[in-house]
Amino acid sequence: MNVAETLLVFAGIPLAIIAVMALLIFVPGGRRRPRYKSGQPWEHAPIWYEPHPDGPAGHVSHAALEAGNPGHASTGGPLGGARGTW
Amino acid sequence: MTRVFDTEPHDSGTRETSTNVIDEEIHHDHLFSYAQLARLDEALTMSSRETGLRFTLYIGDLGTQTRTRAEEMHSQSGGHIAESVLVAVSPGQRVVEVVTGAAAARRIPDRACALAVLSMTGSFAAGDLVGGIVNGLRQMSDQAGHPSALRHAHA
Repeated sequence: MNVAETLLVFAGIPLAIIAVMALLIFVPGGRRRPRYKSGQPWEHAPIWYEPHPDGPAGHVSHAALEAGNPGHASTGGPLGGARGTW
Repeated sequence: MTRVFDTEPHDSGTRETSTNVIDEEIHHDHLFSYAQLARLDEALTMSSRETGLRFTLYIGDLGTQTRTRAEEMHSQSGGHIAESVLVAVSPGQRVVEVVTGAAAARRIPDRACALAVLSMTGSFAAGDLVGGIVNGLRQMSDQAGHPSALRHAHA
């Protein structure tokens, strides 16, 4: 092979591969939702999920609860549970 | 704040009707993607169905007294409170509170809750909210077992 061919094969092909990878990685617009990192402030509105009431399995939906009137809330007996921080 | 949840009022809605209006334009995937919402929904629903307990999930601020606030919310979470479990995650404060009602606590002892919380905080510290929640729910529902197992002898 002459010099030009050598250059193309051993330098051009790796560079072309790198260029294609860079295009695929950096050009697509980016995330719509910012990734959560521990320690960042949480700016979203609070949300409360409850289990789907009995219905056909596989139905994708979630329900957000309203905060109830504290006047008629009753305690669930001696409460248990755990807490953790990170 | 007198209300925990804010909804966007519809153009023609009054203050009283704003939360009752169904708006097709509401996109629920501003916080979690639909795939993540599906995972959360499945985890909550399957845990609740398999154990017969009511699991709910709160993600948001818990104020200065996080435990008190979580217990308050647990009492308002609907259904049978004694059989309810609330998982409250506050990513801004980096606190997770698990509250179990009396009947739920008999089936999921505090030690099991602590283990689930430990795995959850590990995932949260790594930035994986949904994965941590799903795994924590699975751990607790595995611990609780099926309600039918409590009534019948091993067959």
